[in-house]
Amino acid sequence: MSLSDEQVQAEMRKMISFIKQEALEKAKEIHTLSEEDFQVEKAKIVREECETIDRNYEGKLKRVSMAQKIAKSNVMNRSRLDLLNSRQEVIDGIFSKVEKKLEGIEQKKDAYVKFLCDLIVQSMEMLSEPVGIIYARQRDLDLVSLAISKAIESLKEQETFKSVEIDIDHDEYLDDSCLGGIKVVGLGGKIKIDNTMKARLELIKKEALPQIRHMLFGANPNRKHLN
Amino acid sequence: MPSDDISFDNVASPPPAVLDNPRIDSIVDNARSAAIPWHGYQRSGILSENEYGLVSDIIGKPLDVFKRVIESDVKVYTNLFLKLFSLTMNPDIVNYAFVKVADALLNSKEFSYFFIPLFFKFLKENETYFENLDTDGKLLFAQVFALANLYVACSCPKMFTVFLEYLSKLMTSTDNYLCLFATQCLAAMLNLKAHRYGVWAEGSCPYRLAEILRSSSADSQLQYYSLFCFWLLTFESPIAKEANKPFDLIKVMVHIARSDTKTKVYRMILAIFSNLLQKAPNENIFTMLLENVDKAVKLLQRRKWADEEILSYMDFIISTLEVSSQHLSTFDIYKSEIESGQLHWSPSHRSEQFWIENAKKLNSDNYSLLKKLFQNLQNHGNPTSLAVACHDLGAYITYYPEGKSVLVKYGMKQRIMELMSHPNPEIRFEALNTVQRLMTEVWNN
Repeated sequence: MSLSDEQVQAEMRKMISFIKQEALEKAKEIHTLSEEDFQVEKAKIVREECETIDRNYEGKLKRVSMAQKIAKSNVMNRSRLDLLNSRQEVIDGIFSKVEKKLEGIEQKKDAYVKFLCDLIVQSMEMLSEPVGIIYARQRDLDLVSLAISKAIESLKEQETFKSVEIDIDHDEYLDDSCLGGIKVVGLGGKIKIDNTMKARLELIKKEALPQIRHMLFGANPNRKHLN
Repeated sequence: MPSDDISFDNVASPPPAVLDNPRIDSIVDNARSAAIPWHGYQRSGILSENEYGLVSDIIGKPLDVFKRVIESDVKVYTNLFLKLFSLTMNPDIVNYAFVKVADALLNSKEFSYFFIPLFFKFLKENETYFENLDTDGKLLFAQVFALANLYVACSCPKMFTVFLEYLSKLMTSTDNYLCLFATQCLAAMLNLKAHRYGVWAEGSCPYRLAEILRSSSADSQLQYYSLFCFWLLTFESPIAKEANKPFDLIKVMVHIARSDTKTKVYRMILAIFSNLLQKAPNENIFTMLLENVDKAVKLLQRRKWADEEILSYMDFIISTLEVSSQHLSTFDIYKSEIESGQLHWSPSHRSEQFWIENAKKLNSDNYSLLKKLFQNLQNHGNPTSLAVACHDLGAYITYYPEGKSVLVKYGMKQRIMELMSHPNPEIRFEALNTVQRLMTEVWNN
C-alpha cells in the first residue's frame, strides 16, 4: 500500500526534522566540549604567562637592586676617598705653612745659632765619634761656625768628647731645600746623621700626625682599640 | 519547528538552545498569532503613538526582517519590550512580547547583550512579576528567562531561585513534554559556570533530574536532556566531587547504560563518567569500580559505534579504571576490609590477578584472616557481606586447593552449605559456587 504524495512529503519532513534535531544536539555537545577545552587552555596559558611575567619581574628586580647596591657602594667609596683627600690637603696645607714659616730662619740669628749648637751637640752625641764633619747651607756657614765653637765648648764638658774635633766642609753645601740645620758625617764617611730642618720636620710630621688629626677632625668613630 | 526553514548554506554554530517541543510549540504559536487589537490599545492610551509605530514595524514580519528592525535601534526596542512586559493586565500582549523576545534572543546576539542586563534589572524592580503570570505566561516567560541566562550571568538572585523552584516543579509533572521543557531550560542556564554552582547549591533541580533518570516513564529525549544537565554540571570540579553521593548517580547511570536506549543517551552517560573521572577522580573511581562501571562500558564496547566521541570516551574510561583497579587491589586494602567486617564488591574480590598472588596470604598467622572471613559468614549481617565472604572463600580454594581441608577443619563447609538455601539469591549463588569448588577435586585426590 503506497502512500500518497502528500503523505510521503509529510514523512520526509518528519524524518528530516528528526535528523536535524539529532544533528543539532550533537553539534551542541561538540560546541560545549570545545568551549570547556577553550576555558581550560586559556586558563593554562594565562597562568603560564603570569608566571613568566613574575619571573621576568623578579629577575629585573634582582638586577636593579644589584645595580643599586653597586652604585651605592661606588658612591660611598668615592666620597670616602674625597673626604680623605680633603683631609690630606688640609694637613698638607698646614705642613707647607710650617715650611714657609721656616724660610727666613737664618734672620733670627741668636736663636738660630743656639738651635744649631743644640743640633750639633745632639748629632755628635748620636755619632759618638771624636771627629765629625759638618755640612751646612752656604748661607748658614758663619752661623754654623759660631755654633760649632759653642758646641765644642759644651761637648768638652763630657768625658767622651774631651778631644773632639768638628769641622765644616767647604766643598759641598747642603741644598737650600733642606731649610736649614746640619748634616754630620763621621768615621770617614761611614756614618751620616741628617739633622736638617727638613729631616726633623718629617719626623715631627710623623709623630704629631695623630694629634693633629685628632685636633682637626675629632676622634675616629671607627676605631675600636685605643691602646 | 521554529519559524526558520532548513538552510544548508550557512553552517554556523548551532542555535544556543533548544526550547521547543510540541506542547510548547502550540502555546508559542497561539501567542504569536493572537489577534491583538494594537490600534485599539493605542487609542485607549495603553500604548503611546511611538510605541504603536514600533510595534507595527515588527508584527507579522519574517524573522530576518524582524532581526534587522530590532538591531537598528536596540535601545528603543528594549524599552518597548519591557513596557509590553509590564502590561500585565493584558496577558495577550505580555505573551506576544515574550514570544518575540525569545525570537530575538535566539537570533540576535547584538540585541541580547543589550537587552538582558536591563531585563534582569526589570525583574529586580518587580519582584513578584513571575508569580503573577498565568500558566501559559509562565512557560513563555521561562523561554525568555532561560535564554537570558544562557548569555549573561543572572544579576537577580531572587528571580533565579524562584525560577529554579518553578523548573523543579515542572519536572515533577506527569506530562513528559513539560518535564522535557524544564530540563531544556535548565540546560540553557547551565551554559554559564556561575549558574552551574548556583543550580547545584539550590539543590532541588539536580534532585528532580536524578528522579527523572530513575523513573521508568522517562522517554529517551527526557533522559538525554536530564543527563545533558548533569554533564554540564560535572564540568566543575567541586560539583564533580559531590555529584554521586546525594542520588547514587553512578548506579542510576549504569542501570540506564545496561538498558536499551538511544545512542545519544549512551553518549551522555559516557561523557558524564568521563567528566567524573577527569575532574574528581579520587572521589569517584572507587564507587565506579564498585558499581562495575568498567564492566558496563566493556559491554557497550562490543557494539558498533559510528560516533568518534563515544569511542574515545569508552577507551578513556576503561583505561583509567583499569589502572586504578590494579592500584586498589592491594592486599592491605583487602585485609583492612575483611577486618572491618563490612564486605562489599571492591575490585580486589573479583580480580583474578589478586587471588593468584594473594590466596596463600590468607594462611598467615594461623589462618587469622581466613577465620575472620568465616566470622563474616556467621553473623547474619548485610547480605552483600555474606555473598562476598562466600565468594572469597571460593576463590581461596580455587587458587589454593589445599585450603579445602582447612575449610572443613573449621566447619566452614557446613556453614556454606547452609547458605545455599538462604533467601537472598546472590548469597545462594555464591554459596553454590563455593560448594561446587569444594566438591570438584574430591575425587582427584
